Amino acid sequence: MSLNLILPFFSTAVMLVFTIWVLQKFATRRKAHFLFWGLGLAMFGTASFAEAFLALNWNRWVFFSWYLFGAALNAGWIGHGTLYLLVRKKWVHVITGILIVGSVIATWMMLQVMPLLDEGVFTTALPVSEQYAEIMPAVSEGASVRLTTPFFNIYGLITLVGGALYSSFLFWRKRVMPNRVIGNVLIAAGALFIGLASSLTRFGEGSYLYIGELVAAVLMFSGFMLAGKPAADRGKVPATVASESAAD
Amino acid sequence: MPSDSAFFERVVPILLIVLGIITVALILFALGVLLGFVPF
Repeated sequence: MSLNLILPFFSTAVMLVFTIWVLQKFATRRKAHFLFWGLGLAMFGTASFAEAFLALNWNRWVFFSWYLFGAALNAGWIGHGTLYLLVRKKWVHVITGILIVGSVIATWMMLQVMPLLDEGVFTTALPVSEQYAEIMPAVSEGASVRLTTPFFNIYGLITLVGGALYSSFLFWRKRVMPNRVIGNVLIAAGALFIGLASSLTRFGEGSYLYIGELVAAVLMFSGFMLAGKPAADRGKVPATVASESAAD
Repeated sequence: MPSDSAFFERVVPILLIVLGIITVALILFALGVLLGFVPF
């Protein structure tokens, strides 16, 4: 049994536990950032499961899920949760509207691609990340959904990774809550790991995506757990970093 | 935060800078894909 067959199952398992943990926090605390994190992580987990499935068999709707949730949407939705955590302004709701509309458009575009998939080239001998470019047509031949992935990924990079690094820097500069310094570094590192791995797929190096997903899942989950620990020195937290603490 | 900790005084800021550079590089890469400099 190859590693590419096993890794997506592990990623799926980690993401399932992670998603349930975050959505439980939303259920008890009703904070928007937990909801968007939970939805984004559910998308990540769905894409991991789709990869695991496609390692064994072909199903066009599983491929649909893999591309839409894995390549396009999940980074933006996870990152949007971080925006809600760090920015307490009404314009964030406008961005929410744009994200939802953008996601609906991407979904519609992906549905347009479905009749154009070249299912005959699919083989379980290769990871789907190494053959998706042959299965999907080119952008000029109808796969305009491929143009949406940079938007969601750039947004996710700025908000999730940028937000985690900014949070880590804030706590580091104030010399408080070291768990949040390290936790946010782990979150950023995890998100960058998958970002780098998925960037390599554009150059035909799709074999790193699976290990990238598992490493990202473990790092991000570890980071969230660590950053979410109650602060021992909460009394010393300056007001400028209190907003992130108060979100928990 | 532990005082006089080499990890927090040296390693963490270096990590933040390196991760920040990688983030900017990935954003530029994604922009390159969007603008057509990097092929799909």
